[in-house]
Amino acid sequence: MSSALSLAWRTLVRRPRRLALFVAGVMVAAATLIDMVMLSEGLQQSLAGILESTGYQVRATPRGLLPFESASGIPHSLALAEAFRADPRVEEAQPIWGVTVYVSSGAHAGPDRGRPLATFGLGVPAGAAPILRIREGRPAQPGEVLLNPALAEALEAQTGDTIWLGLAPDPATGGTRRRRVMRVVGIAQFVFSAEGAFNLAAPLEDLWSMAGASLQPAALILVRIAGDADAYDVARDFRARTMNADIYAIPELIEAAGDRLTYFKQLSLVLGTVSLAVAFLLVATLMTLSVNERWSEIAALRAIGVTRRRMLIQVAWSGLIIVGAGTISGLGVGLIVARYLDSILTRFPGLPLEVSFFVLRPGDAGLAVALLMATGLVGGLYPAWRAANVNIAGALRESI
Amino acid sequence: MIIILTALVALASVGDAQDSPLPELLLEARTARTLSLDPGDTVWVASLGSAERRFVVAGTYRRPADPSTVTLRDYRAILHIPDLQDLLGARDRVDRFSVSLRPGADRNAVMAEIDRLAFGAEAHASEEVADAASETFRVVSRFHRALAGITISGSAVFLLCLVVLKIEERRLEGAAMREIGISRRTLFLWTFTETLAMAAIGTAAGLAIGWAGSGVINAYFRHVYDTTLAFARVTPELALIVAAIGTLTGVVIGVFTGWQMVRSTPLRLREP
Amino acid sequence: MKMKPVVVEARDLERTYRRDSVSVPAVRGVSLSVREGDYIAVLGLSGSGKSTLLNLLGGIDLPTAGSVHLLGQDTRRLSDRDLTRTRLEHVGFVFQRFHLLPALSAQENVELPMAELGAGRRERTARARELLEYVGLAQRIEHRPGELSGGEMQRVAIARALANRPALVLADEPTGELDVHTGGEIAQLFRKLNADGTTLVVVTHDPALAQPPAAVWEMRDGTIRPRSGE
Repeated sequence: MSSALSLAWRTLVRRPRRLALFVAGVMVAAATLIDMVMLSEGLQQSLAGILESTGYQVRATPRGLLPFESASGIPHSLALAEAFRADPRVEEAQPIWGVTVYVSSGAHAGPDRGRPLATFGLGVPAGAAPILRIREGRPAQPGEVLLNPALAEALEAQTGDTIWLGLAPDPATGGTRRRRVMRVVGIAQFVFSAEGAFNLAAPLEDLWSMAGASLQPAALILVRIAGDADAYDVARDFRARTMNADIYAIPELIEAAGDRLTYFKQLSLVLGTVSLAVAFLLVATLMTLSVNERWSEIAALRAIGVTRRRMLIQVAWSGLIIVGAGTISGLGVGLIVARYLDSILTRFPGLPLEVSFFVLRPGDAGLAVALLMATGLVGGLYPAWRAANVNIAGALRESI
Repeated sequence: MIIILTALVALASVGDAQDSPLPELLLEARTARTLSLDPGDTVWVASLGSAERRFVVAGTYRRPADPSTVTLRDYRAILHIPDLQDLLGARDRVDRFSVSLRPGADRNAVMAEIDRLAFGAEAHASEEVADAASETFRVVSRFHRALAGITISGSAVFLLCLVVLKIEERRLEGAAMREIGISRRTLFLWTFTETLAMAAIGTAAGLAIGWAGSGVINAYFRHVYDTTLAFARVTPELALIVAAIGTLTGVVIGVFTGWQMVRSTPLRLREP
Repeated sequence: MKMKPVVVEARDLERTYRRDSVSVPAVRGVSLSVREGDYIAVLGLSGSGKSTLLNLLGGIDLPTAGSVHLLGQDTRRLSDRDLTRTRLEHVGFVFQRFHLLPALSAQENVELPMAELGAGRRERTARARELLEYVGLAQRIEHRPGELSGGEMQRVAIARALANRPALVLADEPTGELDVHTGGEIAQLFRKLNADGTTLVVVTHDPALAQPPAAVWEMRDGTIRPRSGE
């Protein structure tokens, strides 16, 4: 085996420029395949990563709506959260609400002639910070807020400052009614926030009271499951008895999201298949030509006693070496290209900052490599079979 | 002036219209189909947390073919604004106004006036709104262009591989031609023309496959999304661009390979 | 005097090729015995069937009729695997166009049949160096075929043919690609091989290879007979 490999290698490197060209061809095909494998489930995996990173396994949203799609939410959310908590399988349930608020600070001159900034206000239970990544400071208590970096920068506000928070815009004064002063207690990134968007997080009760939302609406209730309890069971049980909310385990949501990403899956399938076809054609063409070139040499080797099996293995090794080198370099190039393509796609308006369209999972990378190696093997199969079955006398006669 | 308010409402079929006059609504065809409703039927409509009200189905409509909403599988109905405001308990609230200006009116001045007077509202020109709505498609377009770049580089390498192989296969033939006095120019043209022909045939075949593929893609996605939109289209402009790129690739690689063939002496060509 | 054992024996050998539904007889009714230590030179015009006969004797090709017994085994009754093994162990081939592997050095080319037979690296290296020295290429062992002259390449090919100490060496026009002087040197080397005990069958146009001690046979239109006076 090792001498067949060594011979295959030395035969290939005899023509280094040709080898480099073919490796480059396979590299482009491999890079495209890796990218398509990353893209096929990348967004779904990325969303899954965000959802799972919150540490909650079940999610309730207003029936028929995505979270934060509308200010109207699940009514009486405290009661539903309490019902979740009363279930022994549930460890914690956190209602979250979202509403447009208007913010101004003393220092803020503002791009909009000093008028308050329209900001997405996130209502979270006091002292808690679900779906927030706190960069500095601590969770907000009543009368306190956390700002996202973009808003803090626009307001020129920092931890310890006070800001004005208002809810009802007043056309008559150009300001807001129902205003109150809040203290900034930290900077936090909202995990679903889009690039450049202004967000703040304040205690739910503060926002409800300012908005006069007597129905205690929630855009989202996140539920953490206790111990070994099954999230699917909890979701199914609560779904059956809750009229105003859609309640699903996170994996169910991820699966549903996958169904809506048909475009990326189809595109990946088509381009991935084309990449494999190109890799196959390259290897098959090169191997066929290489065998043709070496036809009399192969016949001579068979004449002096090299077995058919050894010939077959030697030619197959040649194909695998080309595909192997192309795949390894293609992995690197594919990752760079994926980053570039991701930088284009993540400019979709309103997309959460943490979302990525290209996610490389070890299993997927392994699948792509296995597919390419199998393609190399299959591409080299026919030329290898021809080499193994050369008509020795005929080939030697033709070589003269 | 058009005033629009949208909200999520729940619909439930109840049967035929009663004698007393009921408020009317329009159902999107898909919604009507799912609920098995026809014009004249009555439905219960409720918002989250609100009391239910009965409506009569005045008719059905089809959503205009809009790429930005094609993947949405939501159910839609159109209500009169006062009815919807009542349902939501949000009197005198709308999501947006559409404003038509009298001929000659200064649009920018009107927008500035709206911004000044109506805090909480932002005025946008129709073009800006359309532009913002098109951002998604601009991103998709950029993505497709990047993929096209990758595909073109892949094709160029593939074509180069094929031609290099052909040249290597013909080294002895080339050497023999040079030895019997065929000029470098003829040999170059021979190789160049062959490469160009290969690129042209490949481009034509690619266009044909693309055209057939676009038919399959359109048929598939029209079925999936129940729409009349075209998802892939091989336009004359696109065909021209593809032909130009294919030809250019052929010319560049043809020159390269032709040069490779004529730059060596016959003796070098004969070397193993 | 005791007869030496037969290495290869052809009986009523026929080999017919089919080309475009026309039968072309290449070898017709050839019978021939090669004994240990023999040096047989087969002369004949192009197309007389010399190379076909050589291929049949070496088990590269199989007869249409008649038989070839190589070291007592009927080549038609051997599987491809056994025939390949027989060639590897007992037959050495020298080709007109050398057919060395261009990627390997002279020494590695000579080692190739030994490696195929499973010999250890040290044994292979020692034997390859010994053989290259024997054919007069001690100074060229690291050179690749592209760096050697035609005569040198043929010497490497002869060393390769001897690698597994074959019972029979078959050479097909071994001087066909060489000038007269170099061809003469190769002919000299063949005589030396035979003098050292190697059994040789050489098909050639070259009279230098048909000098004594070679027993000369002539082929014409697929038939063979000893040259008059032999």
